[in-house]
Amino acid sequence: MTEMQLNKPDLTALFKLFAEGFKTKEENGQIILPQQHGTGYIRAEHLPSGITVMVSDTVLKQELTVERKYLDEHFFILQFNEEFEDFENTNPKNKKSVDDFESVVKLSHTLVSESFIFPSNKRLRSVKFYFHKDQLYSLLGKAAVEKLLNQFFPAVIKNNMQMPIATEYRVMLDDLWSDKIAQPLKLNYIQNRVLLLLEKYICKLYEIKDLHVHKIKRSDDETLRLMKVESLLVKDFSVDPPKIKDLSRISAMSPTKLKSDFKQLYGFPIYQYFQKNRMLKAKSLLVLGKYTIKEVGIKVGYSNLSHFASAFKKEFGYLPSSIALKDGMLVYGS
Amino acid sequence: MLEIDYSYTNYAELLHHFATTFKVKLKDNVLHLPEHIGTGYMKLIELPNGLQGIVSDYTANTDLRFNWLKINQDCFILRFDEANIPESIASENLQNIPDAGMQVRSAVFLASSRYDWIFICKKGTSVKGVNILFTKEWLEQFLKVENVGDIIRKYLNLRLTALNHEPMDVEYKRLLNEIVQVDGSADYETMIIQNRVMLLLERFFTRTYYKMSDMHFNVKLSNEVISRLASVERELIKDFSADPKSIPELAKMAAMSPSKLKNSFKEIYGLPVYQYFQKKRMHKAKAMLVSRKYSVREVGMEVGYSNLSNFAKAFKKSFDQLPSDLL
Repeated sequence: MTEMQLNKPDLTALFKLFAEGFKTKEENGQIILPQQHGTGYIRAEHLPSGITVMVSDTVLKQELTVERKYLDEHFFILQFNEEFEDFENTNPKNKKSVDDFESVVKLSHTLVSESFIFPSNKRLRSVKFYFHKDQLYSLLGKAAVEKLLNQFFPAVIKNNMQMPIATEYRVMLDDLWSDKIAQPLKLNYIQNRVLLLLEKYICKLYEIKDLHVHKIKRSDDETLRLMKVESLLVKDFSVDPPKIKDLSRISAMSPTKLKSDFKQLYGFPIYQYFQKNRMLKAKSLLVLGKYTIKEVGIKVGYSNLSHFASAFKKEFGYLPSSIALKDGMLVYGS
Repeated sequence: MLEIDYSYTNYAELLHHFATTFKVKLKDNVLHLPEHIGTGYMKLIELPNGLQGIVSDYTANTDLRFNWLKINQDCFILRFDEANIPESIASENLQNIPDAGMQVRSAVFLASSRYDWIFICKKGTSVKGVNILFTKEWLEQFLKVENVGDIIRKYLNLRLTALNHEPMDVEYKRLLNEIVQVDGSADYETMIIQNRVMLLLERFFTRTYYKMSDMHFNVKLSNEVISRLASVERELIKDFSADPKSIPELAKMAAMSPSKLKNSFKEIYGLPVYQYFQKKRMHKAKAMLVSRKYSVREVGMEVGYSNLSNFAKAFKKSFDQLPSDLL
């Protein structure tokens, strides 16, 4: 097990620690993990607004903990973490139970110390960013900032409230987690996606009337199992989605309970949720301009092009062919 | 037809001007159009990041003609307009509109404050639009963090004689609609508008960049002329150890007049002939130096400097460092 200390609310500083710790060089704001430490990449940027962001997708051989002590500064950190079993390299001995699964959005503050854990032999995808309370004023009106700072954020932090990663975040996260960000306006591209993540998060807080009731406890086993179901649903669109029967077995819930609880947590029935995310995925592949419509269709599991086109039209109101290519447009769920 | 002349670099003042012209009062930065002008509104948005915009959603009840009068100050106006023109008008041929004028239609365009332009909205046309005003300094902030900032700036200098537009597709329309739909009742909604405005900018400049990187973007020159220029360019950078050919020689090669050569060369390659030559020359020198295979003297000779201190000076002018710093 390795430990690191982060002494300031700056993720580009953490990025430098990683580069030193793994004895590797950064290139274009990215480090690739050397084989002896694991696989994957870590990126960080200092955005024009002053926000620092770290994007990573890693499987480490040894667990790594980063301790961030109490800091007398007013920064918040918002994290989107998704952990999977590293299916390719799982040692049957280390097989983790479903309880260890995590796919959450969480907010914390620099006044409270915290640790970031990069687990061993598990894949962790993460987007985290630090923002100062004053940076909120360049996003929101005064009244909204005060409401966030005085009511919403403290309630979230006090209750250690964690929310599942749902459709509204998925597309931005997918953009950030893509293999390579080759956009010409790279920093604005990253910043716009980070700010949209923050926007969706804030809108969510406004939607939830009572922040105290809505918390997910780590021990809330059922929610964790539903998150597992969600991640299985959106994992690979090129194959048929798992059947309710299978999902119900994996989550150890009855089909009826699974269906109604899923809808409650994610807002849509299981297969509608699957379909919505599948079409969003298709759309974000199309705007990359790298694939033909047929290739995209196949990637999201349609061998019949006209079925794909009509499903696409049903979701967005226009055909795949009307998407202008190569413009790096952000596609996000509404 | 109602004509409105204006040139305001502050949208709050502009909206006041419109209100005075239409003889109505502003209410909370919203201008509700009077019956004889149109049905709908224009609304001022002031974003926390320093941008100003006007969101409009109206149907014209009379012919409107907005004349931007050029000023000697650098500002840009990025307009996104989705227009619905009734059949009867769409087929009408608009005459007597100068080149820099356009009838409202669904388009995205970037205008510069240094040129006159006219915006015409015929009776019966419905317009949904977002106009964003930014200063040269704001744009500079926006672009300076990006690697491609220089290229886009070059494009703006090159192409932005008057208007720059592209068709509005579904994604532009969607963002536009999301902005128009925000009614401003909830206190977090400026964030929603601002994020979408920034997405509009990201998209517009990303596309500008792609157009630009196709190099022969949108120029009015024929392909034949472009290929003759390309041969001039090849000739120019073929060998830096000899003096470059003179403009008359190059003009003869390209079979065009010296002034036409100079103008069209600059349009395509973004720099005057000899500045371009010098830039390429210094880049070659730098490439040779960083390869660490040559001494400063050898590199200097190779790019045509027999006098080393002249070379060092020229190099420093281009890269702000001395050739020896790279060794």
